[in-house]
Amino acid sequence: MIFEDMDPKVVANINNFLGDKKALIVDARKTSKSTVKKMLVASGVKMSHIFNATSLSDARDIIIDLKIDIVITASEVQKEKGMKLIEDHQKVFPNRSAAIFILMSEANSPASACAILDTEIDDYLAEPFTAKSLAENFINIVQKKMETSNFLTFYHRVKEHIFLNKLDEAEDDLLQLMQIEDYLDETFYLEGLINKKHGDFEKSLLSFKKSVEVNPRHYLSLQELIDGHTKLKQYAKAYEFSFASLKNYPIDPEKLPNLIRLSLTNQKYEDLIRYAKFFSSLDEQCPATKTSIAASLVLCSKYFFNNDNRKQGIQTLLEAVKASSGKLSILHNIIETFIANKESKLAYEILNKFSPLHGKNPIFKLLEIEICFILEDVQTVLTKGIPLAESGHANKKVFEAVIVSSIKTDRKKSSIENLIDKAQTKFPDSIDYFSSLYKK
Amino acid sequence: MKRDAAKQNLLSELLNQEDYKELGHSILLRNDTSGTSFLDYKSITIRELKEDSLCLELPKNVCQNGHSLTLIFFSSPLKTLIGKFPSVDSTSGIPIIGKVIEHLINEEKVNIEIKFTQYKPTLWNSLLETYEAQQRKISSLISKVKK
Repeated sequence: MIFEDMDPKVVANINNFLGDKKALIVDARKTSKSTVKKMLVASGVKMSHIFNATSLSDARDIIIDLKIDIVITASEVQKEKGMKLIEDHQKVFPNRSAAIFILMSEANSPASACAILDTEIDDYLAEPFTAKSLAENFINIVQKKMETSNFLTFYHRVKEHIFLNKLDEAEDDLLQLMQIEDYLDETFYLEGLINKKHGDFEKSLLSFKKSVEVNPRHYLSLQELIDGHTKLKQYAKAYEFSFASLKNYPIDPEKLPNLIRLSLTNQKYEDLIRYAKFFSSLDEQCPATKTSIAASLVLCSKYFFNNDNRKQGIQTLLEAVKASSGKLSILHNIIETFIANKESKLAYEILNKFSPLHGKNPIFKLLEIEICFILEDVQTVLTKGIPLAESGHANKKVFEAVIVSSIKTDRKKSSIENLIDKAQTKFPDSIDYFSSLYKK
Repeated sequence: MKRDAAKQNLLSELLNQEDYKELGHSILLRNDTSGTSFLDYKSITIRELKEDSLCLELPKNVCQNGHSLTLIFFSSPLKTLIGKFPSVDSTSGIPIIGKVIEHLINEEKVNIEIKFTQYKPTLWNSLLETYEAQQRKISSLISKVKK
């Protein structure tokens, strides 16, 4: 433990600070808990004050009932996101000056840690961690929480009032903060948040801009400016502030698709070529964020197809398949993109490749029928499509495929009419369209 | 993480691979007690690194409590497919021999702790340092933003 190298007085203060604190470890896996527990006890948390939860619902109950001061959670708890618990923790401690929330995550790139930057989560612990990293990080956070200054007192109070929607109180405390000149960037940022909560969007952007003028690297103000200008469809401004942010900080991989959209709306097409190259090169090195990369590659490929660069479009989509980790929503998007760009054979190959994994999924079945219809495989369309149409699970395209294939194969008139009837019942806005299929 | 981007004006030019790369190791495992090898390194997740032990998550039936294991660590991603457990003497990876001291079943997987009996502390410590340095990069990023 790192305490051996620390000033005993500091250690005593830390022990004292943590002596009455209650901690909760949220993790469904049977690892790490003993190390985290050991570290908490060594730091001064009483063993009887440490609790465990293996699901978010249990964790929520414990946080609220026992007013847990310190939450250390895995990023994924029984397929739910551990970071959601910050909302519950914030309700118990709207003033974050002494509350601690730490996220442990398998995604261990610096960019992945950006997911917590605009939340009230205090720290991000990358896995696998060492006992030393765990202790160092925890002690750093505790020492930060032990700091008392005029600035921090008012800073936390303003944020608390904003969270509780007590905007008059927030404004009063903000006036106190305005007197402390060293932190004007933070003060303008908080002013922006108050204005935003008041619903004065334009005024809030002016405050965030003032914050960035004082400190061009103010992350939270930069993010607000990017979001705000995007919402106002001022994409050039959003691009400009994204540039300022990216100059100093990486981007949360989950937000990479937003970056691509921003380049597209700003017609920065050179970006797209570079993004595709960048994401392809990252694929193997980012196992935890591969799906965000895959989604980004799909967006790039759409741009290539739309700009007659078919070869690069196909290549980029195939890269996306590799990075998709078989995630259905991304595969669906990839296959649809192939179909939309008249590459049905490739779409079918990918579908077949992932059939053992998703073959029974209704979305996958619908896609298969759609592709077989394009490839004029009437028999498969009818064999697999009729049961879906009969049971009412078919979408519009599948109804169309089954009806047209039935007509082509001269199925009984009553069967075709029955299918049209079902299609019209399910899609009343397309009654005429389905009728017109038979007339033709 | 600072970049010299004075002359650049495209977002894509500011993406830095180092920020997005995850740090990982692939582990090949031989159960010396049962005489079987487990080469499906993608199914082994490192959970925690200790001074002279290691916590892993892996499929059931690979080992039991008290079993002796030989592990070889390689930097991820592994560039070649490995069909046979490599020779400990000539491998380019980091070989470690240890004993399973904890074995907890967690649904379809097990979590084990392996206490090292034969290993090179300098190599192991430098591996620990790599992960600690990655955490320091993350912490430095967070401290720039959080008050």
